[in-house]
Amino acid sequence: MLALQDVTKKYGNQVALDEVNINIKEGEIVGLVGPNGSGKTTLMKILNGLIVNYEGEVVRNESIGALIESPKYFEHKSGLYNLKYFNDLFGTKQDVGKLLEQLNMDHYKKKSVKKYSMGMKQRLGIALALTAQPEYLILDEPTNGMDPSGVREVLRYLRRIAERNNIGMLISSHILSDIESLCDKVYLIHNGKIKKEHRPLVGFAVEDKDIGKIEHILLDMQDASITDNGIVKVPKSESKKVSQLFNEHGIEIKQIEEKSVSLEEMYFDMVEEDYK
Amino acid sequence: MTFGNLLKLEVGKVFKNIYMYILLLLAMVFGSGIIISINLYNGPFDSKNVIGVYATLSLLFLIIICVKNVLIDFHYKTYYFYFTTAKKRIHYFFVRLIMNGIVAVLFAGGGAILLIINQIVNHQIFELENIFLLIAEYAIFTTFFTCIFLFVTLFYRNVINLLILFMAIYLILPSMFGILLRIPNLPAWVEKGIKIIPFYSVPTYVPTVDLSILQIVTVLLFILLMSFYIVYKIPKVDY
Repeated sequence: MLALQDVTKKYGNQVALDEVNINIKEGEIVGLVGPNGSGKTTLMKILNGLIVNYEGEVVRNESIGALIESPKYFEHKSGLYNLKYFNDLFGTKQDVGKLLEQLNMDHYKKKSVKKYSMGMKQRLGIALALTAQPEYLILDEPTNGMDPSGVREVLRYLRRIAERNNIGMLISSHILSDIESLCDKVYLIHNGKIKKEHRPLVGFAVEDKDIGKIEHILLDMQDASITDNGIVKVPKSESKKVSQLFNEHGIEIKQIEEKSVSLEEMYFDMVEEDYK
Repeated sequence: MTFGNLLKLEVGKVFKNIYMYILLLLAMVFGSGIIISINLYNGPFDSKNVIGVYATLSLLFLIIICVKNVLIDFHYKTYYFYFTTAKKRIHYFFVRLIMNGIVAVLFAGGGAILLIINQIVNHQIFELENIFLLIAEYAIFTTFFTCIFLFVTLFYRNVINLLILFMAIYLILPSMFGILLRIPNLPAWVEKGIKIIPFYSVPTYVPTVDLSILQIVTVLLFILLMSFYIVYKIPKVDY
């Protein structure tokens, strides 16, 4: 588990983080959204061990890969050199060629990093963060500078490795739709405080006759609910498991709905509260 | 990331640095001018001056390489990969000291080669002791400045400003002490005191391989204290 417990960080008199509590479990993708200067990078740096002077408790695993503040890498060297260097540094036996291939960077691997576009550099940053074969990933605006298809591709890749390798992730982004579509849980941060914890829900439309059976199946699942019109709402992180359970019990899913309360609405409510 | 992994990679980078070899060669080419002078005009240089030009140039190049080795990770922000635990930060410090120490030995080797060439060409015999002294003083030189540079980065990390500051520490600060030494009727104890300040003694006396025992002891003590402080402080710094 990766967690901050009542963490406060001050720069002189300025409070950057104010009694922040967050946690990230293995395999869970957690989003972090907030305006510029809200404390996102400070929070990520504390989790990654770059900031060590704070109040409160940090539960951190040493096996963390991170992409924070777009590092420039060894710009005059190739992407492949950079990956091999950090692979050797971490002493991991990661297949860097495969990693580049998975991130669709195969054609650029021998080019010097300074010739990369912003989006390519971000992809390289993700690859570098993965070279240590981490149990947790911290990604600060990982899709920054990518074109829409690149964004989709990278987000899918992140979801895939989170599920396949059980990697817990903390991802910050200003693109709320990306966060909403990818994350199991989202923290909204403003002025150094976590204002809201948002758990995107998935709705399963089912036959009325199955409701009783479903109530029994989901008895132990917190945050699961059934609406009057027969929609079973479960946290996004549990949706795969629920889908499998329904399948096993022969419950027919008529429709899957991913929209719940819009993250965008929550975000603007949070920011505008300050101006009132 | 282990100490061994980091050391292997960084030392590998030192040996693969083509610019370092070019600088070394450049210093040797210019430094060999004195050997040619001795050979053609029979002096006026004595054996002690043989590597004077080489030393001046090579130490300047050494400083540039030291500055580069210290600042490169702050420039590329790659220190994010190294500074995630206290242990890694301490490893980083010692690896930088070793890296720059190796460069110093290579440059001292360049001076030794010039002395050997001089012996062959001009029959001015050098003593082996001088070679050891050369290596030791070059190593002291880089260790001292690497410590200073890393010490400063604990508090300030703007790469361009640091570049200017580091070059000023090497090029301007000793001259300022030199000006103080030229003040008429300066009390002897003040003069003696200034001459053992490492910021003055190292850049002034290492080029002529002329550090006194007292100066060497002072510098070593200074390096030791600074190393202790850096090892104590570096895990407590926010990056």
